Amino acid sequence: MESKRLSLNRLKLVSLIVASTGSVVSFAYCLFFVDSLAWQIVYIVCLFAWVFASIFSLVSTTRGRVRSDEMSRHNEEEASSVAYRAAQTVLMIAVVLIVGFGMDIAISAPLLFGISFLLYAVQSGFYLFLEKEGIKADAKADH
Amino acid sequence: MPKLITNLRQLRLERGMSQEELADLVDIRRETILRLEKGMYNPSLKLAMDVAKVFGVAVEELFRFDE
Repeated sequence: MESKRLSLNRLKLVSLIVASTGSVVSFAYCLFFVDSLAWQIVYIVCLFAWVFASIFSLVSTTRGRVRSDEMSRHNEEEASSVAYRAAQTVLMIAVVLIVGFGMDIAISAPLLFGISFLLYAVQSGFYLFLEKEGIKADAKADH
Repeated sequence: MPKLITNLRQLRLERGMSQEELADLVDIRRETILRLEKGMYNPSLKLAMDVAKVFGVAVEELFRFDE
């Protein structure tokens, strides 16, 4: 019964792949104005995958379909805290650029999506990093 | 920060129990048992009590801090 539940680590890995790809695609448009058909396809796929992953993650977690425990919840809280601080830093840099340097930054949809994808990637990535750090330390301690 | 010391692994092996079995009994993942045994994870009081209950010992007999 236990093993049939979805692994939270696998869910986070999928989230990290989707978020990293989405982030690269969004910033490619904002910085280098990449707007080819291939770019549009990847962009749309990432957006749908992101929405699907977020809803699936929320529903599965609240219904207890994801295998998690207090340590994984602790790691998730740590990762969320890091993502929150990253969000504050991004906003602070934006404010400094716009107000301090008078830069005319257009708040476009790809820019907003890019920042959201980036924070989602930071959250998922840091969670996986915390989980992996423990596993690495376990392996070292065994020798 | 004081280091968490535990004889969880010793007690588990004495009872011929696998990490997986213990994890199932206290409803946590095997990875958490692994880190508990290495003293790398500071468990909640509830988890510490749940694990102690499985072995029929007091929490203080199972976990202590090296100060």
